[in-house]
This record gives sequence, C-alpha cells and structure tokens, in this order.
Amino acid sequence: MTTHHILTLVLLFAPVAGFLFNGIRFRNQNGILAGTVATLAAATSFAATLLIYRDLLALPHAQREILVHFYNWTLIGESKINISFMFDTISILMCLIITGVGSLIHLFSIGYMSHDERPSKYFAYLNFFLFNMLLLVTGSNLIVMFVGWEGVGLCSYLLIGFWFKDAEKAAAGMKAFITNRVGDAGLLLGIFILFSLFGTFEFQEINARMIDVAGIPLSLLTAATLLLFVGATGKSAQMPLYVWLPDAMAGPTPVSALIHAATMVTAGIYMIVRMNPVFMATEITMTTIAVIGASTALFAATIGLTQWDIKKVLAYSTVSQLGYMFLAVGVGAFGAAMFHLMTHAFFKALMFLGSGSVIHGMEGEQDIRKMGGLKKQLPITHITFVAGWLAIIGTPLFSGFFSKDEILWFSYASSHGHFLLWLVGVVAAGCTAFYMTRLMALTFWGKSRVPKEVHPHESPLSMTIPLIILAILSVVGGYLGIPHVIGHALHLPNILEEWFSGKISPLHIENATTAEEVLLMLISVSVAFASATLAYIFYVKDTAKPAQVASKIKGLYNIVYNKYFVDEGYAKAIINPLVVFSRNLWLYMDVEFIDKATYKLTNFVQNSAEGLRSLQNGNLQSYAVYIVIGFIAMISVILF
Amino acid sequence: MLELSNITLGHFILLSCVLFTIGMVGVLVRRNVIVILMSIELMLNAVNLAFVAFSRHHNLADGQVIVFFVMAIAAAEAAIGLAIAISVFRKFNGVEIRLFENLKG
Amino acid sequence: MDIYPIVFHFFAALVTISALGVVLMPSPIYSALCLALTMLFLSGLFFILDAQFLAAVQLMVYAGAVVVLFVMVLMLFDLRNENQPFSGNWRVNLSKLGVIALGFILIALPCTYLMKASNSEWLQSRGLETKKLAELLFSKHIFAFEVVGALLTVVLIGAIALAKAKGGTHARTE
Repeated sequence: MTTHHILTLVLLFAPVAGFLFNGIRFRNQNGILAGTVATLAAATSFAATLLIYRDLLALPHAQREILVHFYNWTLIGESKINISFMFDTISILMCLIITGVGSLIHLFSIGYMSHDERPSKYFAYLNFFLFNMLLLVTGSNLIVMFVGWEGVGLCSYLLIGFWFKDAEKAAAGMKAFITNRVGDAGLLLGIFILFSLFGTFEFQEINARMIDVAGIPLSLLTAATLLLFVGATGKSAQMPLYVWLPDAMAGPTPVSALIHAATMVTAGIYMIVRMNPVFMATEITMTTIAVIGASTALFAATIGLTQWDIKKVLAYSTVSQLGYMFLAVGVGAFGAAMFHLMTHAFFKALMFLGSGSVIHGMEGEQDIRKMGGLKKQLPITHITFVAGWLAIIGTPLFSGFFSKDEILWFSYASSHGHFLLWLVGVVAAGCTAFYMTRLMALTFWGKSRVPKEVHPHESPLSMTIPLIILAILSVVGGYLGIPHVIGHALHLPNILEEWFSGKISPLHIENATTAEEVLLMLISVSVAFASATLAYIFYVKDTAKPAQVASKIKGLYNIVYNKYFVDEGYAKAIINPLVVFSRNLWLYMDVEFIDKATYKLTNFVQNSAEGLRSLQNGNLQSYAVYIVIGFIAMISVILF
Repeated sequence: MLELSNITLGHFILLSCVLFTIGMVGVLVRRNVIVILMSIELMLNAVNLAFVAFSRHHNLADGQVIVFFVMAIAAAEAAIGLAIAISVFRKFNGVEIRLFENLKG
Repeated sequence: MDIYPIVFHFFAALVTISALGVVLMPSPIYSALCLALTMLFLSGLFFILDAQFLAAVQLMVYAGAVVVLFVMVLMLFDLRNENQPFSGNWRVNLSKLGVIALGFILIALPCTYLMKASNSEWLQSRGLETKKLAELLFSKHIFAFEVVGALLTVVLIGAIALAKAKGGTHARTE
C-alpha cells in the first residue's frame, strides 16, 4: 500500500464521505453545515490531487504516469478487468480542474442554496457527482471509466431534477438521463468492439497496440470509434443528442456551472483525448467528429442569439464551445482541445456562477428582458462577468483568445482540417461575440428594466470569492498555452504542449506559414470585435433596432427562436411513435394476448378440475363401478 | 366348448365367476344397504367355491384352510356391517345407499 | 350312468337361480331367504367336492348364523314399503351391468380352457379328509388360526359398541 494508493483513496473517497454524511442526514435543514462539510470534502480531494501532481512533476518528462492498481475485479476469458487508476498528464489536469473548480462551486453553493428546504440532499448529490467524475477521469481502463460515466449521468439526473416537485424540472432531469442513455448504448457497443479487437480494456495497452496499426481491421476500428463518439455526443451535448443541455438549466445554477460547463460535458472530450492513437488511425471518424463539432458550434451559437433566459444563453454557449473542442479533436489537435477545455471550464463556470449571483440578487428572476443596468447594484458580479465575457469572445490576452485561436488555426492548417471548417468556426465565433455582448448589455448595461418590486443586491462573500478566483483564472489561464507564433517572439514556451508531449503527439503542420497563422488570427479577432460592437450598438445605443431587424426576418427569427423546432421534431418522429407503439404493445400484446392466454390456461385447468370433480359424487356404488373398471383394465393388460 | 358330461375344474370356476358377477351386480345396483351386504356375502361365497375347487384339483388341504378363515372373517364382517347399519338407521331412519353422499366433492 | 354331472348341474342351477333371487327380489326379506337357499345349495356343492367339514360349517355358520343375523336386523328396521329396490334409473343400471358383463367375459374366457375332458381324473382322488384339514390348521396355519380367534373377540366387542344405544342398558332411547 504505497502513498499513491492512500492518496488515491483520499482523492476518491473524501467526496464519498461527504456524500454519506449529507446523504444520511438529507432531511436536515442546516445548509451551512452541509455545505461546509461538502466543500471541505472537495477541498480535500483538491489537496490530494495537488500532492499527486507534485509527485508527477518529480518524474522525468517522458514517463509522467503513476499507475495505482488496487485489485483484479474479474476475468473475462483470460482478460482481466482491474480496479486501477492512472494519473498521467491528461488525467491530472482533469483532476485539478474538477476538484479545483468543483471546490469553488461547492463554496458558492453554500450561499446560493441557503434558502433551500433540502440543502443536505443537494450537497450529498454534489459530492457524489465529484466522486463519479473523478472515477471517470482517473480510471485506467474503459470499465472504470464507464462506471464513472454512468455515475455522472445519474448525478446529473438527480441534480437537474432536484426540485422534483415541479413536473417540468423533473421532466428535464429525465430527458437528460434518457438522452445520455441513448449515447451510452453507442459507447458500450464501441467498448465491446474494442475489446474484441484488442482483448483488453486498459488504455495503456490499447494505445500501445495502436503502434502496429496495419494489423487491425480498419472497418471495425472505425465502427468502434464512431460508436464511442456517439457516446461522446450524448454526454457532451453535440448534435443530435444535445437537446438535454438547454433543458438542464432547470436545475440549480451551481449545478449548471459544475456539471454542464466545467466537468461532465467534458467527459466526451476526455475520452477521445485519452484514446487519441485509436482515433487518429480512423480518418472517417475524425472527419465526422470535426464536421459535427463545427456544425454544432454554429448551430448552437445561432440559437443563442435569440434566447431571453440568462441561463439558456449560457447553455447554448456551452454547446457551441463544446463543438469547438470536438472540432479540435476532429482535426487532430488534442492538445488544443484540452487547452480549450481548461479555459472554458474557467470562464464558463465563472459566467454560470455569475448568472447564479444575478438570479440570487434578482430573487429568482431569470429573464434578461427584466434586467438591465445591474452593474450598479452588483458590482463584483459585474466585474467578474466582464472578465468571463472578454475571455469567451476571444479578446487578445485573455485565456479564451489563446485556446480558441489555436483551435481555429489547427482546423485550417491540419492535415485533417479544411478551410470550410475554419470558416464555420469563425462565423460561430462571430455569433458568440454577438450573443455574449447582447447578454452583457441586456443584463448589466443600459437602462434598468427591473420591475419595481425587485431590489437587486450583491451576493454574500461566500458567493463572490469563487467568482473572483475564477475571474483571475480566466485572465491568466491562457498563458499556459501560448501558441508558438507569439511565443517565439516573446521567448515564452507553450507550457501545455510540453506538458502533454508524453501522451499527445504534437500536430504536424505542413505547408502553412507563420504569416498565414497571424493573418487568420487577425481575421478572427476582428470578426469578434465587429460582432461585439454591433451587439453593443443594438442593445445599448439603439435599443429599438433589434426588434426592427427581427420583424424584417420574421420567419427565420421564429425558426431560430424556437430552437429550429428540434425538440418538436424529436417528439414527433421518435418519442410519440415510441409511446404509441408501447401503449399498443401493452394494450394488444399484454392485455389482450398474454393475459387472455393466461386466463385460457387457468380456465382450462379450472374446467377440467370441475369435470373431474363431478366424478366424486359421494355415491358409493359409482365408486364401486370405478373399481371394477380399473380391475378390468388391469386384467386386460395382464392378459393381452 | 361347454362340456356337459365330464365335470372339470373349469366348470366349478365358471360357476364361481357367475356367482361372483351376480354378487357384484347386487352391490352396484341395489339401494338397500342390507341387500348390498348380502351381495357381498354372495361374492365371498363364490370365492370360497373357487378355493375348494382348486384345493380338490391340487389335492392339497390348504385351500380348505383358507376357506375356513374366509368364512370366519366374512361372518365377522357381516356382524360389523350390520352393527353399523343399525346405528345408521337410528340416525337417518332409513338405510338407502343414496343417503350417504356426504363426501360429495 | 355317471351321477356326478347330474348332481353338479342340479346344484349349480339352483345356486344360480337363488343368487339371482338375492339380487333381484324387491323385498329385502325375500333376498335374505334367497341367500339362505344359496348357502344351502353351495353347501351341497362343497359336499360333492369332498369338503365335508366345510360343507357342514357352511350350513352352520352361514345359513344358520349369518343369514339369521341379517333377518334379525331386517326385522328390526321394519321396512314395509320398498318403494325402489334399485338405485339409479334403468340406464345407469344397464351401463353398470354392461361393465360387469365385460369383466365377466374377461375372466370367464380362460375358464373354457380348463374345461378339457382330460382334466376330469381329479374326481377319483381321495386325499382330502377332515383329518388332513385339522392337521394343517393346527400345525402350518396355527398362527392365522389364533389371530382369527383374537379378531373374532375384537369384532364381538366392536359390534356391541357400534350397535349400542346411547347411555347404557338402562337409558332411554330418544
């Protein structure tokens, strides 16, 4: 039992301890105690992560991985399924994000959920989620990862439908879980195919076997990776399984911050990055991922332009940003995807928590048409939100700029990339800038449209401290991954690329020059700047303009505002037929056929019993006749 | 087929069968319990006749010993049967076999 | 002329007729009397089968005791009107008759094989005397003999217990 075993146990089971403590006392109304215990549990995990990280740093560059093996769970044939955890450069980064940002969100929740009637249950679920997410990213094989995968799906359902007494919110939770499940079916099939190809579930072994690519049938490998990607679309809300994420805003806002911005939705990206040698070998899958990622980014960004709920705007923004990450892995830029994952975790969690602070200050109001001019009443929230806004639209020097730009560059320049992908990415970036500026303008700037009864107030310290910390990270986090084109000039290394170099081979760019890179960078920055200015004009200066534009393109606006009627389409094409089919199956198969068949059998037995019963009429002489008949039968048998 | 001048074992056995079936008919169709008991006596006597015939045929006295015992048992059984019939008559005031269908399923 | 077949057929016919009388007579008293006749003729058959002791016992026990017992009980019941001698309607009885006829045919058929002329030497042998019967009874079958004695004692007590009126000898019957 090495120190690493102990640290792993602390890392994983501190949240479990919090879950048990709060879960057993779930009726307890003392939110402060529950929240403090939960936050301490999360912070303990963070501390354990830091210790493991320090150990990892001590190792030489190329061998930065710590495998912690507990025991052999079971055997399939001769293949072992181990309970073991791997801490390498990829997973430790994920752990740091999960536990670090997670602890901040736990701290925020103490203030946010202070008036709730079941705070202990909430914190129990939150801790349990942390445990499952950590399982997911630290598992050294597909099985442990899958356990965590399912666990986070479960916690997502529990937390989205936390206020289950409201039928709509409960339905949102179910929608999330079911959509996830559809993706999980694909994931499982992919895992099975991989097992049949490689005979093992361990990531290390699979990735090592990929060196000898020629010996593996490509069609099976493509099928496996496509199915894994289906699972990723379910978990990370890409087309066509993204529909649960906007509805998931029915849950408490810190949940949206933790699960649907920073951690759970990044599980798909993590899985693909973890198995990057496998994905790199399948061209078709890579192209599919890139195309779906780019189109989702644009699709979601356009919907975000029209939404009035502050959280829905952020939700569609998340779907869009995840699309960027998938675009990155699709063109082979795994490092860039992880980088954007990290910066996105910072600024999106910040913005969700900020919106939570706004909602808390507005005493439950979420419609941005009823806000405005809040920068006076919520100063700290405003300043931190500005940091997040600048990061997401890609303002130079903020973290979002570095990561998003790297993705756009690689989507153009990589051998798997294409000019069209870059174009779609740029248009989506423009839309992002527009709707985020629109959000800022309608919420914080301009004239106040706040109703008379509401008195917005700033949030308490427990809520603003996480905001400040995340704002700082949103600003400086980008400097971990300065692209070479700038770094060369300033003699600053791309720390993140070096960090990943053991696990993720840097992408080779042929036939692309530095000049092209700078040009593209300038184009995307100017597009973003122009969009932001346009949005500022529309929503701060000339407030009548948006309505005028909307009325001119009424049909298109209607379609986009109604989310392209995707949910209605699913309901009509899939859900309703399924419900009708199930009902008919019940009515005709179960009630008519099976039940009737059962009754037929029972009736037959009853009737034959009645018939046999009539033989016993109490009449002695008929019994005597039966004896004679039996005797005759016996004699016949003997004689003949 | 039916030899009339030479009486063989078969004749006696046939007679025994006839008596037995007549007795069985009596058990099955008569209504009065006492008559049924009498028919049972008739069946037992038919069996006795068969035993004696066989004993004569094999020249062994064991057949007659069996008849001896059968007679004793039959008499005992008739006594018990009649005692039961008496107590039944006291309760139901009649001895028809149709009165005792209480075990009807 | 051989007298044996004549005697046999005589007794056989009479036995059959009186047996039919037992079964078919409507009044139970008549049935009892026919039973006595049957016992009598059966005793005759025993005689010509060289079982003299048994013939005598048959007369004494059956015709003399059992039938008398039957008659006494019938007198006790004092049945005047036997309104329906046969249970069930004629269809039921006919079917029962049919079943029994089937059984009879099955059993009686092998008997025809036993009626061959070559099997008639048996009437000449003389080995079954009462002495022989007594020897067997008291040596080989002594245990059964004793058991039957015990059984008869039990039956005696049982019959009294069953037929007794309630409450003892001086009690009034309801």
